[in-house]
Amino acid sequence: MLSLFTKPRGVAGLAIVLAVGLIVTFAPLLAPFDPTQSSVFFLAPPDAERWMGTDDLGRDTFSRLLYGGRSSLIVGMGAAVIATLVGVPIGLAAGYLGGKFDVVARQFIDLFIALPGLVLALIITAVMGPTLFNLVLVLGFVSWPKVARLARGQALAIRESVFVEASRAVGAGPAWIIHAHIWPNVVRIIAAQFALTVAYSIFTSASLSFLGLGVPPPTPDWGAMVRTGFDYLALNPSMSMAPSGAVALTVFGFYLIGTSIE
Amino acid sequence: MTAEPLLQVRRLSKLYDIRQGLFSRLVGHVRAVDDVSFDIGTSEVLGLAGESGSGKTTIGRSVLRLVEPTSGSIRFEGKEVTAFDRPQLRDFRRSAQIVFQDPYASIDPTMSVGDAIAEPLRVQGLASRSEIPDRVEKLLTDVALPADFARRRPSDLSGGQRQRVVIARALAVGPRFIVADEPVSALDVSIQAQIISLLEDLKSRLGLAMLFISHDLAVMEYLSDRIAVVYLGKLMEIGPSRDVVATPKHPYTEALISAVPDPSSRRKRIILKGDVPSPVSPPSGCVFRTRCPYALPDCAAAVPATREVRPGHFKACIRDDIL
Repeated sequence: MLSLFTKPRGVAGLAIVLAVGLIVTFAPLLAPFDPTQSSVFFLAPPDAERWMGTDDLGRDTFSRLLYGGRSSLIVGMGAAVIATLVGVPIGLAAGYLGGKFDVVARQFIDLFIALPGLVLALIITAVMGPTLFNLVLVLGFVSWPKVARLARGQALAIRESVFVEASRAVGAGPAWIIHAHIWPNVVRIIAAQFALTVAYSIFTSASLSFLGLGVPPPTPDWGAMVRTGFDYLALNPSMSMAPSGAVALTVFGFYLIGTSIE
Repeated sequence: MTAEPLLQVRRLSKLYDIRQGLFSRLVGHVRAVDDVSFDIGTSEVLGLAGESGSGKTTIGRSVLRLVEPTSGSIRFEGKEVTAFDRPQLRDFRRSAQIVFQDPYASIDPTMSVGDAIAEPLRVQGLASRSEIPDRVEKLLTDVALPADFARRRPSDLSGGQRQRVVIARALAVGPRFIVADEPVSALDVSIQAQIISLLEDLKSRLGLAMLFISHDLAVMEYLSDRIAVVYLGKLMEIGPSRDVVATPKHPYTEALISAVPDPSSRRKRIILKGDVPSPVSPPSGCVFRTRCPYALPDCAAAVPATREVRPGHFKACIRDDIL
């Protein structure tokens, strides 16, 4: 875990994620305008007062950008928490216990991995309705098999290791072995997968928003902003470029964290 | 034999199933260990020699029930180990321990050296939380490591130091018997001697009995009271170390010993032809006959009985006229 604070890429990722987190948390203090308040200055170009101009309803793009990251971060983190809470126990149990449970769990995991996450998320969201809570559930649901597969593979490898046999040789039972050996040896890689799942979920939720299945308006959301701004790309590029940049930067930050952990 | 031996192994066998296809149909067995019997007395070191794949590691693990024997009897201090239930097996692990071959793989890399040595004490409930640091320090001293090693990570240690930690772990429960499964073969030659002399020291100081598994006969002769030679899961010869090495009675032992480099003698090297046959379908009769320079047609007829050729020296070979 220490590598997160010593490797340059880990430090960079951490800095990006912290900065984005602080900005969206303190958006009410930082934003110069109300993000949902429309005005007569629609589609205004950037100027000294409105740094990124306004959108088609005259709302300040910069203020909307600061607020818009909230849903992305909530969806990303929430989905990763759900994927980890579901995937890790199933994966560890399948890998350590083996046998019939493993056979069933493995088929299930492979089935879900075979389905493309975005398409699955698209269908489920279309059926369940796009609320923030549903988005967290859906993205958690499409991400857990990857986490489970990783945890299973790790548990399997560690179960067969000599130090686990050495632990059995001094009389340790399954509970001790999972607590003292399996868990400490998988926790790093699960933390890495957590960060990558956050990145994937933010990206996918932005894609869903772009397709009109994101957080409903008027709540500002990066994906939805990109979609609206797309129609005015030639007229007012910052309207969609700014939120796309924000998504890219945030995803990149979590990706850097995820890949800097061993 | 008047007194009961510490460990008595009788007709031990371990078969591994070979399964194939969609429904895991049983298609055969690997005979890893086949009908092996031996005794180990209190404070006695029995060397177990053989090539890789001869089943010597499986014998060591079966004796401790780290793998379940298919059949046979293992009696430790008069109690039948194969009949132990879970709590009895846990208690048995306080008396019988193992040192593994690879000191790099046998310590959990996420544990400190102190935690690794304390693990047996914690698992067995042998020391209270406040006693553990003192016990760990004493165990480190027993294996000639500085006491401040407890705080180190295993990755900071050399192979020899790691193997000392593994030995300290095994000693933590106060065992009377240790299986040493090729404890030096993963180490540099210069370090091997140190670990061997540590084991020898522990044997004389603590009165430990040992099953010393190795393919290195020179080391084995030095450390062991008796030597047993296995080939393809079967016992070929067993007897006092000096006798077995100086005057082997089994052709396989003779070939093994001739492979040990010895500048003082001009002994002819016996090169065995071919490979070890598959343990899935071992040869009929004597399993060694396919490579034995002295094989006769009779060797294929029946599995040779283990016969006493000298007091305490047994062999499983039908020919008395050769060695």
